[in-house]
Amino acid sequence: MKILIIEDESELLTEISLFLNDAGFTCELANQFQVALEKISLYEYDIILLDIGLPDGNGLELINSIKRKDRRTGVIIISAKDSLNDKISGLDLGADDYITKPFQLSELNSRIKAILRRQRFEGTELLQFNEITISTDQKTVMISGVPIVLTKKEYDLLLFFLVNRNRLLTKETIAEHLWGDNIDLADNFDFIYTHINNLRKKILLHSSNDYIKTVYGMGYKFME
Amino acid sequence: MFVIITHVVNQELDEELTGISHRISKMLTASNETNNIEPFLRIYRVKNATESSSFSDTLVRNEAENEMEEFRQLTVTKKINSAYYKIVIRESKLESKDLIETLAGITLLAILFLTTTLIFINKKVANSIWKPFFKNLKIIGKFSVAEQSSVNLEQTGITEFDTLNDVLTRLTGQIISDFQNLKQFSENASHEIQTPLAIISAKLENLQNDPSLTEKQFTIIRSIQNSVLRLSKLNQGLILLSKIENNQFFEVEPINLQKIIQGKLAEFQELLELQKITVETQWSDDFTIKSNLMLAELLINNLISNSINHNSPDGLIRIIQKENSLEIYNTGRTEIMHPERLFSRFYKENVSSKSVGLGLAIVHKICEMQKWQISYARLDDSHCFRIVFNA
Repeated sequence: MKILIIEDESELLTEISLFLNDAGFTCELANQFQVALEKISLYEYDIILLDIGLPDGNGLELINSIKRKDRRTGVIIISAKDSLNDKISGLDLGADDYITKPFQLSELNSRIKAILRRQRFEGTELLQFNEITISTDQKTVMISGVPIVLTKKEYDLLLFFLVNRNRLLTKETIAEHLWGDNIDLADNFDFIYTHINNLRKKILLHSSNDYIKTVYGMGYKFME
Repeated sequence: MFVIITHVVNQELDEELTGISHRISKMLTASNETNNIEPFLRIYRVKNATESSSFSDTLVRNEAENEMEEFRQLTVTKKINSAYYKIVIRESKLESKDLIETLAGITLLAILFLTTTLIFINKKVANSIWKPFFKNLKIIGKFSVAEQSSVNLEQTGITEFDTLNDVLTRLTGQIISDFQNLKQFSENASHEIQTPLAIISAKLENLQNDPSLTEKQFTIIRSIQNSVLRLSKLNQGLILLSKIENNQFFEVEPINLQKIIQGKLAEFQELLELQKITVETQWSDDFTIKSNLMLAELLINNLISNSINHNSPDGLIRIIQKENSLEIYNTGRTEIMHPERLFSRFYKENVSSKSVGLGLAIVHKICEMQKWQISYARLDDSHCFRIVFNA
């Protein structure tokens, strides 16, 4: 899977590529509008991460070039502005998602994977991890072929874990992913604990493996 | 006026009477005959007197009409041909009274006419002179700093007003440019902070997955990461507040609050279940308000998340929507120490709270901008927020 990261802030560029390389992607980097334009016209990418606040051009204009070349290339806009107008015009131009700085890399990863699923398999892909099977199309989960009933948030949580497996996820990251800006859960992380415990119990009903590992008692890791 | 006219008339009469008295004196000098013409003239001889003359007002009975009439009277004592005569001359004041009345009437009419014309003309002139002023006043009244251009005032052709307009145009232009600068500065500052925050956050997240980290190091990294998250939320909250203040959510549409509340409750369903919080709702039929959808959702979101966050275990949230108001109650054992500061930015009831403390400030700002009244009350064991919407 090839990803082009267009971001003028080199430090951020490095960190994102480090993370995505780790997650198994091949990354190419562009820190200027012109460089980005060149790469877009020369190579094929599965996903393009696009910071629209480039110093030498409006990143929004790149979306057209990207989509003209290959409609299936996924575009995620990265913006420092939580601006509704930018979001709307970006999505109108054909961007697939919009993420506001600062973001969690695990969150970015889960967005990338979601786009890949949608585009490569029209959403019908079955996500498989050992005995756990997730149908992202139906939003259903089966363990060893037996369907289990999860609440919406438990499903989101399991998917987030699976996509970011072997990575440490703190309660804050998980809370952000599940509830976003809707509620400030800073004082109530017990919610997360209960969520995870419920999910763990449901999985353990049908499986003997507890994949959700508690790390240092502060975060969680989904691993074998 | 009356006094003046009376005085003038009296003087006139007095002169006339004096004239008559002179002629009578001459007549007497010539013939010594005294003819009385009552009541206008009476002459009689007096002994041992001094020469004198005096004017007075008197009333004399008019035989024909049997009425008392007013007369001006001149009493002269004079020595004529070595004898003293007392001459009393009277002149009716009736005519002069008529005259006074007529005069007064005419004057009054004239004054009345003049005054009305003056008022009328004044009004006409004032209207045409002040018209552009009031028009400009209206324009100034509608002035808002959020607009991009300074006020466009009409030329009046009146020097004073035009000077005022010039000053106002310059002043509003200055205000707008200052405001834009300030706005741009705070927007830039807020947005530029986001990128370094993103770098810090990304670096920490990568670092956090380093397998060689000790537990102590990890604790520090996590604490930094939480601070970054908080800073970012704080920044976003402040940007949102200034956006609301700048009236950037201006599109207004009829909004069904019940739908929004039910949507939010569904969204928070799992949190409510985890906390074992019961929700009771009470609706009035088909109540819609006019507002911006984003703001209405934000308002409801913040109020409901507030009532979840500050609820007691196995608690209750009661939402009552009345015809023109919304009440949200939630159980909570502890009383609020400073209810008057509840809606201020960064106010935290619990000092150790890690929350940003902008949720209710945003609620308050939204209400302020939409001219809704929001109030807080402590009822029994509940916190109650009440919003009264303007119809």
